[in-house]
Amino acid sequence: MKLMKPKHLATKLSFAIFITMAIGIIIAAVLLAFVVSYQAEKIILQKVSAATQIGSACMEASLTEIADNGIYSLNEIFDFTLTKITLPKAIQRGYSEHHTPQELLTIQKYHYQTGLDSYLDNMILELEDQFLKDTEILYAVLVDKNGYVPAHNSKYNLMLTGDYKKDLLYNRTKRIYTDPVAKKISENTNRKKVLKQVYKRDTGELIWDISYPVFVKGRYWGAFRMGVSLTQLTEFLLLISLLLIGFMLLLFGILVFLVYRITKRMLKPLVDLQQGVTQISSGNLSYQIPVQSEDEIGDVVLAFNQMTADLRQHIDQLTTTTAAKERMESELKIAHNIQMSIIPKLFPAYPERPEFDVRAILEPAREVGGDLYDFFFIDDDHFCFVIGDVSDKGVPASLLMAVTKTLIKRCAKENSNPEIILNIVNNEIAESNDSCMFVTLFLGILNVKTGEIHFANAGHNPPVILQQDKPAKILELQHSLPLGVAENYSYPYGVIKLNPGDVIFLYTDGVTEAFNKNKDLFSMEKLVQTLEVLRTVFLKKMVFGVLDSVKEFAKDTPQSDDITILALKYFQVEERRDEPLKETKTITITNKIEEIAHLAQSVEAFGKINQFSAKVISTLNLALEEMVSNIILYGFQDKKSHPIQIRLSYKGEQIIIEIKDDGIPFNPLDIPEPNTDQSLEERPIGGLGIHLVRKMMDHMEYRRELGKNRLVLKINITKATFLD
Amino acid sequence: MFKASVLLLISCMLFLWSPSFSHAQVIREIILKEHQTRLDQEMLGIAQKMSHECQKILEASLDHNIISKEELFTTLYFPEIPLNSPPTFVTFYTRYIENFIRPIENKYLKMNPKIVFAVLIDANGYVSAHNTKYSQPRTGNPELDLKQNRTRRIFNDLTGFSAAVNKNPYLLQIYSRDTGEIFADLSVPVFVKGQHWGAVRIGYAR
Repeated sequence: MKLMKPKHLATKLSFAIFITMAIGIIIAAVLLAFVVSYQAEKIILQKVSAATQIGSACMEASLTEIADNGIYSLNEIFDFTLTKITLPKAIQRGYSEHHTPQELLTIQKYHYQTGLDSYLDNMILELEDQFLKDTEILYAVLVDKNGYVPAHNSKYNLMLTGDYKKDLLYNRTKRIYTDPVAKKISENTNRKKVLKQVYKRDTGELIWDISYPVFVKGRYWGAFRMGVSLTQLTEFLLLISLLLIGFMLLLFGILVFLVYRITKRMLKPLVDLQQGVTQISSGNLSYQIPVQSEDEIGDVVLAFNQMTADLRQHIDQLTTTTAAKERMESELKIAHNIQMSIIPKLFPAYPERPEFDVRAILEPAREVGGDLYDFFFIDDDHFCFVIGDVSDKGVPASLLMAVTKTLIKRCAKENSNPEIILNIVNNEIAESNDSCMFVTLFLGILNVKTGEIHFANAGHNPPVILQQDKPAKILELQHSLPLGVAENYSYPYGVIKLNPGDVIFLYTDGVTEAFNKNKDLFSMEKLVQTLEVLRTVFLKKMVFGVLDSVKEFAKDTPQSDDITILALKYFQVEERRDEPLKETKTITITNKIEEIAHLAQSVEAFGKINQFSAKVISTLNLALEEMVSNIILYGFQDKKSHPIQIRLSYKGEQIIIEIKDDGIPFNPLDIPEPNTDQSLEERPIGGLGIHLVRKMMDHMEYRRELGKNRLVLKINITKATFLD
Repeated sequence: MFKASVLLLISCMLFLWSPSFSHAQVIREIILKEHQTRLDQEMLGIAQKMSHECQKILEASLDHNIISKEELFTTLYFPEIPLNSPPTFVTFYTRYIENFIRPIENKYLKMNPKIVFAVLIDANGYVSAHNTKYSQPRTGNPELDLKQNRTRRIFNDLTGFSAAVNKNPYLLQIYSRDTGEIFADLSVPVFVKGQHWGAVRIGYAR
């Protein structure tokens, strides 16, 4: 049992009860002690009074008997004349050496002249001593009317020793007592009155003196006197009080213990509840508090258990929801990464093409957007660029966007006509468009040599054209349907020509329909104004400037739609315009070694058209044969048929050969120079052919782009002639 | 406590009515000279002789300072504690009498087989030294002790008191016990240096 800290309710309660009771007990005990003390004193005094009266009667009887027997006559009995007793010299010396006459007078002993006192010694001593059997009675003696004690109790009648102090105390017989108490006793001659007096002993002890007069033959003779000490009574009462308190405390100790146990038992459900709350608050929601009582606490426990169950259910739901949301977010993030990876993001995109610059940006409203842009070269001179907007946002939109982008890229490779590309893509999308989503799209193909743009539009926002020395204008387009709405729809198309320095600016409705908190739209007008301001800056700055002004406009309003911008600036490339390619030939073969013969024929045909010497043709053939056979033999690890595209062009004094294949990445320029010091047998197989080609060519260039090897070989006609 | 007081009351009442308290239990008579028998005469001679012998010893003791006059003539008695019933006392000369007088008492006791006791008493009837026969150690048996231990008591019933205070040449008293026996109590006073000190008291069957 822990009773130290009044921490628990049960302890507090028991403690309070204990304190209250203890105080009560002590007060009650003290009161009781007082009452008992008073009563006991009263009883004792009554008892002693009665005893005194009896004693008095005995004395009267004794004295009367003496008179009746004729031992002493009545006159002799009433003769109170005293004669001094002369003590033996040895005892007298003991007194006189140290004490004053007054003190000697106090201790002086007397006899009656008649000798009655000696007679009484034998007669009443036994009777007097009878009263002393009660230990409270200190003395019980007969005194005469003058205060003379003829025969004191035996214990105050010890043999004289000559020691003053001892004899004064222990031999008190045959002396005259004249103190106030004794005097008062002498004065009481009333038969009806028991005289009660209290005096203090020299020890400080309180003594009750009870006396009753003695009459002989109706004449007052003296009194019978008894002394009672109340010390014993006081001690007894103190003992009783202490016992009482002790017993009561013990009793209440037991009671308090019981109260503690009962309270604890009663409070057990509360403690359980408290523990349960601790458990629950520490996260253990499956904890059920045991219901033990049917009182208010039981109701609380039931309510609490219900609450916990509800809470647990809520938390479970929340956990599920959160997990689903997290999974979705994580999937969205992955989707975002995929989406961003399928659109070209590397700028400048074509640093080797000085003819134009292109910049684009896509800011999805959510993790993944429905907007798209793309650009790629169809061939050396034709650059295709696309901007589009799927009718929705989020994952479905991004999926459709990816599909659209892939379709366009595939179609553009096969067709260089924008309207046909859109037509094909539209059919593809519309065919399986169960979710009724559609795409607005603008597709343009720039001829990098002329600056002409062939374009087709599928319900997309008209681009803005920024021409030199002219205000920005919005390209006027016919109204058209987006992709995926109707199959076999013919999309309007057109041509514009960009002069050097002109910019075509494409965007999605995320730009023009961005709104601020007043629901004002950014609008076309503001876009045109912004572009006017930005027309002289770099293309990159222009794109980001527009994006920034849109964001600045929307400010705190969350972005509601994807924002996509694509801008293309066309530059004049003088020398290329002056020296256009004289002839270009593109040959596509499959990866079969027999095809090389077919290739040789094509090269010969190309050489004849351009009036190359036989030497030049054979050099070209040699180089091509070496490189293509290399690709055919080592470039493909599967057994499938792969196209190899060879483009021959003649420009100025230079012949350019471009070989494209989708085989494994292989850079012939990485092949180290063969060690010509070694004998033919010692050299590693291969490498020699490539080395030869390197020697023959004036310039070689390799690039891996879009999963293809692109090798460009350049040879000056003069050198070829020289070889000849 | 109340019980004790009741007991006390009852004991007091018993004491009041107990026979030992009353001194009037026997029939007493003083025998005058004309009624004396030969035995009485014989006893008187013995008593006078004993008285004379005691007187001589006491006076000689005073003369030789064996005991002082104050001691010998004292009338202070100190009860022996615990108090015996009946009470016994000692006084300054108790030991002296025991030593010097008891042999004389015993001697006179044997002079005649009729003599029951022969003692020296003082003026208050105090017997300092009874005959050895009556000075046996206490046994604790009250009846036996009453018979065997009668020394150091003050015999001041009417007979004893009369014997003690008698200053005439002799006092012969007879008294019959409730057993039917008749005893004679003969006392002859003892004077020391002319001052009445006590008496020689002889009891004999008559």
